[in-house]
Amino acid sequence: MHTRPRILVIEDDFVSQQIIAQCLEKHGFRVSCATDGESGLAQLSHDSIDAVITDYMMPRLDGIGLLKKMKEKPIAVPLIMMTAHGSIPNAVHAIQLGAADYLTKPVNPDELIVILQQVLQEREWRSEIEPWRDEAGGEAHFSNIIYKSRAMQQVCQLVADLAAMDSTVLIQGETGTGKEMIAKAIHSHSRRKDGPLIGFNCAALSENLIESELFGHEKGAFTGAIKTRIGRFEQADGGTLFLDEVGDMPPATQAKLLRVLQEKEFERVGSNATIKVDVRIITATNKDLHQVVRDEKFREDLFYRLNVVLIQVPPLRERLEDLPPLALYFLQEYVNRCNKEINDVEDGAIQLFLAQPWPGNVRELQNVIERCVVLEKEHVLRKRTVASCLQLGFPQNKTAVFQLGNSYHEVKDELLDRFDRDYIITFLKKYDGNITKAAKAAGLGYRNFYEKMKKHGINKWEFKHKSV
Amino acid sequence: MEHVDLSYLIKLAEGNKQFVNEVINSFIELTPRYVQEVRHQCEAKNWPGLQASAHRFKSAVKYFGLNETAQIIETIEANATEPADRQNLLELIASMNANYEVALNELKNILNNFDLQPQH
Repeated sequence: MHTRPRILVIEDDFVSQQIIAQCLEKHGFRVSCATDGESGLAQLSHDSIDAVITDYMMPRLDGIGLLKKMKEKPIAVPLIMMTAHGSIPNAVHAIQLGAADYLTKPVNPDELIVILQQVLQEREWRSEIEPWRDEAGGEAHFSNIIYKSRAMQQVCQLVADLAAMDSTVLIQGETGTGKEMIAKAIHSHSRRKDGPLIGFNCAALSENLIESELFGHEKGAFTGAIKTRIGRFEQADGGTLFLDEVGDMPPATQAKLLRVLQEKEFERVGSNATIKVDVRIITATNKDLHQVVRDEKFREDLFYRLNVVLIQVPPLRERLEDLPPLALYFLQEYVNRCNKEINDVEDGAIQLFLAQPWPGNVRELQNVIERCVVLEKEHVLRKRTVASCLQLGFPQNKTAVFQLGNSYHEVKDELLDRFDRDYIITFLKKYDGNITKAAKAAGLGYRNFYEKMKKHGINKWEFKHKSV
Repeated sequence: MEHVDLSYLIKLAEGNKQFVNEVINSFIELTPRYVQEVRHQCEAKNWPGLQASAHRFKSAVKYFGLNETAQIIETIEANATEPADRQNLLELIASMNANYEVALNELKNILNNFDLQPQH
């Protein structure tokens, strides 16, 4: 069901509260209000809230206190902090503690809506990857990583050894092997565990935007820089910065990153003021970075800086003994999530999984199992359902589905499902995983398109690196 | 002496006069209490309380373009820390109050002759 996002506005000045609420309602949001952090927290605990916009200074529980309480509980709702004009240190502090963004008062209505939409989109993206993150990394306790293989045992041992150090780490592995999960485990066992873990995908943005995202920018530094923005390095101060797909970083940014690694300092775009940070860098790539260096697409000096410790995450096909426990874990996860009653697996079903090459690795396995759970109508996960779901991932004869002996309606539903899935994939491929663009080109609304992706277990990040 | 500037509210309202009316009404109804609270906290030498109440009042005045008043309040907020100069704070509050009274009357007049035109 399509519902409008509900935003909680926490502001002790009723005049400001009224103004912000009006601005949000005008743009189609539903609004709840609170006058202090404590009553806001109570609402967050009981109501379904999609984002919080809160004042920094409030009676009883201020904005920072609220952020900390939300983290403790935990309440995973993005929070936008409103600070007084010019109080950037407060904004930096809030973002380091986990605020999604900040606004200066008096709030600019256009800026408010743009930031809120970005934050909600980010939340949607997070909800896509969170199940995967949670699965193997749990809340980053790598002892919870599900594995049986010796190869993963070695990876986990290395992660344990690294936790006590502050070394820069390079994680290499194919798409879907769980590189981000490994980074999270390293951070959460390091001395920086109480500091922030900030992630950034170097392949997701253009060169100019990457610099602005990583190093921040000053208001007016370029067209569209409507306010000072704090970059990921500043956000990660005292913690860890995880740079995913580092092999795709543009050359100019590579030079700047090298300087941060050497000097521990940088400047925001459009500023001469040098900012010093204490950040541990963990990078990841699905490429052979040494080869990228040989191809002269990556700086050799940067490569050696990043490659202090290398963790090679093996692909799923090379550690098939991990597949059964992973499959059963995902099955349980989706059975709970989809409120299904599947309490057994038919003999031979796991063998069907074991026979696959899994080019998309654990993430692909997860997606297939989600699909199996959605489509299974019995209390047992049948071989027939598994076979059907596995075939969907590969080029096939469209009549194959008829041979499964299903009823007319089952076959029709199945074919329509296939059509839906193939259609969505085609557009995501064309637009490199950009849902907004793909949905627009397909003539579908963003939410409708996204719901279809979710239904079919399609992850947009699998389409971000089609050239690899 | 500065004047009320409703351009922000009018832009936000996009022609919805009732909304502007409601916000002005809220300001007229609520802010006397805010001002009283600022004065009370200063007299009670409750500096964190003064900071909080000044901060709340500052938020409200900014939406009415009362930048000079907002600056005075900001100074009050910044100076309300141990060891605070109470006399200086009371003078700042008096200055804030003088500005505020003018703005309040201006808003009451606007409300009485309510016919807002977009301001450019």
